[in-house]
Amino acid sequence: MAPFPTIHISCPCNDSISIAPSKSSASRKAPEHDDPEESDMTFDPGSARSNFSLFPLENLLYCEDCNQIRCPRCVHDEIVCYFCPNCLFEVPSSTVKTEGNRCTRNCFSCPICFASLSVTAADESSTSTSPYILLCPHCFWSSAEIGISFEKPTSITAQLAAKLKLPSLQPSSSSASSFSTPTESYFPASASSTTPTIASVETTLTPEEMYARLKTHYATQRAGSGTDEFGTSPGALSRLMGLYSSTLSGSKRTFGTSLGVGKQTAKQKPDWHEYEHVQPTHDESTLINKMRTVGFTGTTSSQQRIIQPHHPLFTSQLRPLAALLRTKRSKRCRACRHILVKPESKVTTTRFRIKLVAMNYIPALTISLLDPTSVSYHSLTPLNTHQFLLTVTNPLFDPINVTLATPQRTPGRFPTEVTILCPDFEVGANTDVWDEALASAGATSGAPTGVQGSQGKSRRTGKKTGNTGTVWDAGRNWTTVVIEIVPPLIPVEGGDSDAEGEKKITELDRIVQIPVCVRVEYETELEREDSLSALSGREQKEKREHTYWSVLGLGRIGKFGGVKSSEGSDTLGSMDSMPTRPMGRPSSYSVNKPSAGPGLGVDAFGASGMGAAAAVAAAVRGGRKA
Amino acid sequence: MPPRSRISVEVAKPPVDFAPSIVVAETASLAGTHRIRIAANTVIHPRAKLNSALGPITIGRHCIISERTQITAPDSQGLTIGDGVVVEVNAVVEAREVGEGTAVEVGVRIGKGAVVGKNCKLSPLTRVADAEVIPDNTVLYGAGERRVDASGTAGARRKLLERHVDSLRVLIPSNASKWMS
Amino acid sequence: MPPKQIKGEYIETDTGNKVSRKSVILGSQNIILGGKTIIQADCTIRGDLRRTVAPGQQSGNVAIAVGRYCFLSRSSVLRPPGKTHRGLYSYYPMKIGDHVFVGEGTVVEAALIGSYVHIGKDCGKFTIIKDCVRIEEGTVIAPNTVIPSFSVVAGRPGVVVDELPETAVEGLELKNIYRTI
Repeated sequence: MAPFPTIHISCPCNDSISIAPSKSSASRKAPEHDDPEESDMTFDPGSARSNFSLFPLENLLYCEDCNQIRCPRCVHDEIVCYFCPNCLFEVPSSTVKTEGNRCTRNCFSCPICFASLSVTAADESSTSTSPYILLCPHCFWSSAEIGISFEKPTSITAQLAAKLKLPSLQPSSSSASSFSTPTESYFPASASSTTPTIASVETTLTPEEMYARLKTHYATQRAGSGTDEFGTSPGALSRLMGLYSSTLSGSKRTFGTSLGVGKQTAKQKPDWHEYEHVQPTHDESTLINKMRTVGFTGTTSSQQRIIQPHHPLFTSQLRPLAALLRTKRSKRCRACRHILVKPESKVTTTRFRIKLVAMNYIPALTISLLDPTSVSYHSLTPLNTHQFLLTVTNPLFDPINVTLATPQRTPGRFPTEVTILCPDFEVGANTDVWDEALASAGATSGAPTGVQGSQGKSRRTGKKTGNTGTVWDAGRNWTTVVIEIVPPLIPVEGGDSDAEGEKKITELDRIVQIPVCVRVEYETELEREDSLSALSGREQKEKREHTYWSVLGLGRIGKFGGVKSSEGSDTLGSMDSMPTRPMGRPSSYSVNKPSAGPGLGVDAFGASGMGAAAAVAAAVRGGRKA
Repeated sequence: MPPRSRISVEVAKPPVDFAPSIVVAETASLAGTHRIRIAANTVIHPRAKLNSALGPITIGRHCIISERTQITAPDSQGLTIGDGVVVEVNAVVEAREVGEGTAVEVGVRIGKGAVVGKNCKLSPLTRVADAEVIPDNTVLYGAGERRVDASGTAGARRKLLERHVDSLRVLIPSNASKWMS
Repeated sequence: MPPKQIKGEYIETDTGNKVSRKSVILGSQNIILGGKTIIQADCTIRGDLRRTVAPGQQSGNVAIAVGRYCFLSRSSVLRPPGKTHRGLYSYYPMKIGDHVFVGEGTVVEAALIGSYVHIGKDCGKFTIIKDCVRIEEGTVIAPNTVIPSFSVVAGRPGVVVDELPETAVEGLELKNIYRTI
């Protein structure tokens, strides 16, 4: 997990009926049924499902038509263009369809360390005959190691293809001669009686040859269909589907009669072969012998093996990897099909024609410890009150009313007590910076009420009292409130008492994650295409509202202050598994040290739960209205 | 802003043995009590630090010692850097020996008394432990992986290096005489 | 975010660049700073490694061009990349866009860095980094690598591990950091 604190926003697409009607809503219900505590609609950040709906604000989009957050799961991606990440040349989609999704220029990455290879003039002293090699500038792997060098420094892909094919074709040429016509290739058993058995074909064909045969086979199929070039028409698709069903089930479909495939009977059909196997030419003993000779350094690592299409076992079989193409994509809302993101089609530009990101529509939350010196995020003291500052920043040009709601105790086995001291407040509009300067000039230091002022003027700033029902601080388009949490005491693993059931204490139990429901209300001018409304004088106002769950990852619960330090060692196993190693500062272990910031009495928190805070805030709001 | 000279506060000048064709930048720092030998056509960038407090330092021909490097002799046996060695920025070399044609890249640390073979490449931020022996033609790459360089480009690299030295000779004003007194 | 610095540590230029008095800037006549760029203490900028040209030719005299709102953290090094072209080794100018953050101790030898780039640590020679890229800490980018826009790069050697969201420009803006210094 990333360093604390983290802020994620839950995309409601999970239970949005408009997107994925039956399936997801049904599956959504299931966990609620299991866990009755969840039925009060509290978002449980610990549940397995929530992991998939939580995103940082930066990754969220916003659909203006649906007035809804859109996450990567509820948008459609459409490819605008393909380009090679190395040479940054755009690749037309027709080329992608014919040549595959790899760069066909000179872009290769190292099979050893995956850095990009460069074409270098070979050393005169080296044994290679041709003057150019592909050389990795990082690990010095070179194509000379697998016996490949190039005559010219351009069109390496074509040269490489020629060089890789030739030696492999040589031994198999005798058996391949029976496949003289490329059209009758991949299903040889069906073609004629003179073809060798599948087993012998398999041993003599390299994966590239098999692929080429398969490709020509499909090309013939497409040619037979005679319609569109890429086989995307329904007719061509059904032909392809029919191809599988007929070869596998032996049904008497009449497609592809030119190849005689349809004439075969169930008995003659070829067996299903898995071609991704270890090359069958090596039996075990030769493999072991080879391993013995090349040693550990001669074998490939799993990463090196997986990334290659032919999964080589030895480094001598590695090949330069042609660069995978990347795409620029536009994104559509799944519900209303409107475009949310549309990048400019030029490869090198980073501009967007359309960019509806959630950042510009919903307020951003930021959180930090009120007193960062008192305690570290990685070792919050159990049963101690910690204060955090939650800042809500408004990106809109209208002031917003924010209501924060949070369960008093977070869901999960070890609930953290949470109190938002001022759950209802206003955040000013994201107006011009100059407005703030003008406003602050005439600002009055009003009473420390929670909510005051509107339209970006006479905002009271910097009271920092931390009393219940008042905001901590506020600026032009941001407001900060205090959140208090009391982390639970997590029993030491293997301890006697309250380890409920037999479940082990996981790292997740130690992380304080607080679900906060953010409700935003604001009035905005109605956007009208026609200029009539603009002419009619007063612009029409529309009330809008967003509600979403946000999860604040506040930190990790450390060891309880007073207890013997040896007790903590039991949990070290689970600690070690965490990427962010807890670095408990000794100072944070003292129980008696008040973690309260300046001016924050603990009693201000003690008596008033969240309800009280809300009541105060409500009272304040009432006062303002009156 | 011209770099201010901080050399004056350094400890006493070590005895040096410079070939006439070397380039030592004004702000390079040579410290220690043992002899520092630098052979022909070697370039010491500004703010490289050579310390011979514990033993002599010998640097071969056509070497480039970049800025912010620390070349320290580990003990009285001293440190020998072969011909055609490049020591890049932020590298710390406390080896006994760095073989001919080896490239010590950015931020590499070579531990005390290590012996690095010929034509090795130590990729950026890699480490060589104390007293470790790295055989010839080894490439340290990635997060500490090793392999044998079989590309046969050592000769070409050496040629490029010599050209590099030639260009630096124009760019870096040498003040070798400062140390030779 | 870096803590507020002691007053007087930085020299502010007419265009709002803030350059630490403790930075090391060589060949300052060959360096262009776009304005509002911050150079922290102990940074090294090698403007002296300019392009070498055949005698008689007019020398292009810009070695390093840095855009606006860039932030060079402590102990980082900017060094123009060099290579041999037609038998002559030469350094080539390094161009850095706007809003480029260079992390502490990083050595940058890239040919081109776009705008809105965040570099955690160490960057290889002659790299081209396009706009909107985030390079994680401890990454080593191999020479001649090209990194396209909206990439997250990590590892040794650095490879693209993730894509940045559309909001990358906002996330990588450095105007706020400038205000804190």
